Amino acid sequence: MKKLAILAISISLSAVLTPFGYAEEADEPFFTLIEPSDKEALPLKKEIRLKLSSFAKQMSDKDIRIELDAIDVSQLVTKQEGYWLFQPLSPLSAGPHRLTISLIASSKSPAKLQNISFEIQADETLSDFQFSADTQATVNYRLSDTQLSSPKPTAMQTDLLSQIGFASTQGDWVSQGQFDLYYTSVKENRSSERSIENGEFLLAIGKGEKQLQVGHQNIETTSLVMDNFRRRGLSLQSPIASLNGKITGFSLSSFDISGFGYGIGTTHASRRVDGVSFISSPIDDSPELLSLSATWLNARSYESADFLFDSNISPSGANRNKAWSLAGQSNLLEGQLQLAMEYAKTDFDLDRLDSQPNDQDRAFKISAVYSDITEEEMSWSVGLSKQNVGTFFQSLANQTLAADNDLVSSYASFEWQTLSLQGQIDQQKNNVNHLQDIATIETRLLSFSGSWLPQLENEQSWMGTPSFSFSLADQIQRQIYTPSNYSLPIADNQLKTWQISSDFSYEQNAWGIGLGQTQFRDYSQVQSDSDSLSLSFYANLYLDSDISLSPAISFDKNSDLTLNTDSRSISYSLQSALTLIPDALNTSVSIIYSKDQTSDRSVDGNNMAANLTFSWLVSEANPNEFGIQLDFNAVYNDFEDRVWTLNTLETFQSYLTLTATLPSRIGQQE
Amino acid sequence: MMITFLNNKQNTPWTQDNLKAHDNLWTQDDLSISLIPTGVQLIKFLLIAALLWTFSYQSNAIIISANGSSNPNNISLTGTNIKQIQWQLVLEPSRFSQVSVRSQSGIFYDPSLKVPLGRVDTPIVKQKLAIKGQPTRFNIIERLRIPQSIVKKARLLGLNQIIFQRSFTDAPDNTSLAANTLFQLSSGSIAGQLNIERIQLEFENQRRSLIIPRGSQLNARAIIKYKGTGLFEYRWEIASPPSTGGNPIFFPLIVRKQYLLAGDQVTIQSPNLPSDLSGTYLLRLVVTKPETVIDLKTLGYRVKAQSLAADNRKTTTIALSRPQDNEILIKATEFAWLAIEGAKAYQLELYSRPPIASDIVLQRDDKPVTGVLLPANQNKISLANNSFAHLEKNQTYYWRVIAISEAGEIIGQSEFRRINF
Repeated sequence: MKKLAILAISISLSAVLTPFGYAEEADEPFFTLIEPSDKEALPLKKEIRLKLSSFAKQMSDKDIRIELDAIDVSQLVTKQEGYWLFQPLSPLSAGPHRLTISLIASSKSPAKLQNISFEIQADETLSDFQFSADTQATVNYRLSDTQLSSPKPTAMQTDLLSQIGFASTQGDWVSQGQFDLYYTSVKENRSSERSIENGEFLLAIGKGEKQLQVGHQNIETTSLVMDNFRRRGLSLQSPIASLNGKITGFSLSSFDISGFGYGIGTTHASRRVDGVSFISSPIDDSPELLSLSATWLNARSYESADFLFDSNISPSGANRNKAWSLAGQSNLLEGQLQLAMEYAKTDFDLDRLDSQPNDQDRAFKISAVYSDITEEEMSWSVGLSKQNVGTFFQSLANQTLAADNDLVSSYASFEWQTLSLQGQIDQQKNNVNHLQDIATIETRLLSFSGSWLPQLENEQSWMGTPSFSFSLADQIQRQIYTPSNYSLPIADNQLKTWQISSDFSYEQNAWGIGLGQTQFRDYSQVQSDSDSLSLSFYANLYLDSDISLSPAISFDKNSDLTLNTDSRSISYSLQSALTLIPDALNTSVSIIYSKDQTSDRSVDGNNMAANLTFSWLVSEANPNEFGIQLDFNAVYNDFEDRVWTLNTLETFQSYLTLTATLPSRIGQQE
Repeated sequence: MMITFLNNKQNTPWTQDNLKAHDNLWTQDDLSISLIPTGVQLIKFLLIAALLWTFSYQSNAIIISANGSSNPNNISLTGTNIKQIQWQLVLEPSRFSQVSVRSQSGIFYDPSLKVPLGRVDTPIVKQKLAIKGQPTRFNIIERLRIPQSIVKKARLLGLNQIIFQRSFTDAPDNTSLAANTLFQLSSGSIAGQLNIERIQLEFENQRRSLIIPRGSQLNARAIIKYKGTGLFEYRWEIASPPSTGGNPIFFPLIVRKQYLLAGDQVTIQSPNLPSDLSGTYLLRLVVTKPETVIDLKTLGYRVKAQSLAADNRKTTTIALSRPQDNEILIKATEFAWLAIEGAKAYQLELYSRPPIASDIVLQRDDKPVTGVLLPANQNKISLANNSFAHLEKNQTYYWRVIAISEAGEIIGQSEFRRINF
């Protein structure tokens, strides 16, 4: 797939920004892209050559940064008289690329001098096809077991797994896909009635930036109405060159589905989320100045099928959800000022067969962040944001967003040399729609955190390279409105917490400790007053290249001041890996011991778990060549319950596993 | 002490049915007496009558009290609510026997119990051995799904409370008693007591099932939607192959206690997940406090036998020195790693989420947010201001280092570590 020949390159130069007054003196662009040049066939040449203006030659090299697709490549740029050269280490992929040239002044934020965009187009005569099928068969044999509560019917189990993928290029058409197949001989472990089942799949075909996708996917836009929504379905994406944007139409299942059932997931009109999303950076030369996005959704779903209404009270029907969102973001003043805002509305018809009015509500969020660096190289920033989500705001494509929430947040951060400090004040309220029937609770949170990374002269000392951090938080929650028939307030509490931690890093090893305490007081008597203390330690040790050890200890103590009880838990763990014969025989051991106890003896138990593995790689799998591996695995678990002694259980299992692997490949091996 | 009557012929515990059948047998065998009873017969008659009175005439049990409670009892105005109800019933048995209580359905009402709002047709049945003279207590835990339509109906009627009522009937005597549970309509986001409303498990690329090559780096996360403030105790547990093919044995990966501040959502990251054995791994988040009634799904991933090295990418693992996982990124943060042989250059890369080996290339977000390319004689670097300009405050990023050879091939790569900006 990487053998895409470069046929043509189109270039656009941005407007020159205003870098500390330089622009006023410059009549020509600071840099001119000489190579790759426009309309030149460049199948092999990879060099990027920038010509400096007479003014740019006066600038110090150390102050200039060059980024290629957001990767800072300045240190590999070489200078020749009047030119800067950069040779990418591997061929650039087909598609748009961007060179960004910034001026780093010692006391200011980076000033963007110039953006240069170019596009590498695929060779229309290129034809390429790859197919892969990674198949493996695993046979597990349970050698021994003790005290298994429900041993499976057979000691032998066979699993087959095949991951099929393909990629094809025909000129500037690209298609690729991935499809998984599973088989297991144990019926209880199957996800459906089928003995061979599919997990997730995705097929995609595209020409340039136009792309059709079928299968499990996320839509790129994140908004108040759609977030974290991964579903099976189809989408079609197309660029809109005139707006420097792209539009995506999609139809996804409103249910999370996998396997062969349900086709592409969109055949059932009452279980579907249809929509369009659009993103654009209309100022092509400086896309960071303004970016816009919009999302529109028309969704249908059902309430749980296990619920039945009384037919005399309400008929059941699919619910319908319409939602839209508009958002804009802007980075102004050389990125020092970041502004963002979004407005969204939803319309939720719970039961399309009833005559009840739909729930309609809106949400918005707005934020502003300003940052700067002083002459003394102190950087600081302040920010303010507000998010308001209406009481009845609902979107089927963003089920984790909590409705009825008004959050105002302000923060400030400060950083100087090796020290950084952050402070934040939040105020949150519910009952956004000011309903008389529900309580209103206000929460105020003050938090403060910092870190210090001292740079020691001697990194070989016992502290190595240390880092220290701390955090404090104080939260007060009050019920500021109580409806007439509430008997008691449901929230009146205060929570204070602090934590400190230190990490010490060496060339290869590291260790760290952490300590924290929390105090919770509930004046409404809904929850117990409590104090909590936690202590933790970890280390990662590489004794040599073949042995690693990772011990960890954590201790927690909780005191319930209302019930006058304490609970303590302590956990020790040790993980180690040892290579006995490089590339052939490895072993790993992990041991975890934990102990839980309460002062009132309601809990008193300990648990020990150990896992031992030997892996023998008989022959390594290579493309179109079988690989064989033999594993021995032993698992031991001893749970002792000193209060409910019947729960005490000691189990042991050991397995021999033979795995045969065949990575099949057709087409180019890359 | 458990008491059971045994049927001598079948040697099986008595049930209500065979006790009744035995009563009938006694009636047929022993009540065929003459019209003028003798003294012995009279005594026999009186004894039998007493037995009949004990076993047949009197009821087995009467429900004398029934109560329901749910804590916390606040329900959100929007969305479907899932609540845990504890039903407590007390029966007064009149003899040793197996008794059962049953509730066929439950009905939502307004607080005056006059206006029905809807019905749940989920039966509850519980059996217990009753001992004569001792009140028999039933504690029944019900996981109740309160549909949004019920809440909406209550809201349109101007209610801020609803009552869920179940009528319990004991068997075989069919005495009935109703029990009520009160729910308070409240806000969708804030409440006093901590209540976990939803837990969504997924891998960091948002997928819920994966196939990865052996040796891959993988993390998962739990997106937790909650109300209130309080102590949240949880542990990540993993079951490794081959036990997942038979009886999965879950090992705790990490145990944590943390206070959840007011908010509505928290994302909990898992530790690095193992991938050193081929086969199926099962991952779960066990919430030990607060008690939750939501379904905790298990996340599964399959590890295929061929390692990354065998998958056409012969790479060396680059050992990272610093920063450690989950540290805070500031300008003074120095990224450092151990050099490897054959490298022409190293590239430090920061991602908004780590690309996973099984990701399809066309999936978005697989390019680094920012990074630095530097010659092989350098193995540590601090980010310059231009790189920071690509990062957003209060975000978590994932960084790694790759080594590139003279021929432009990736010959080494490190694990991913998280860093918070």
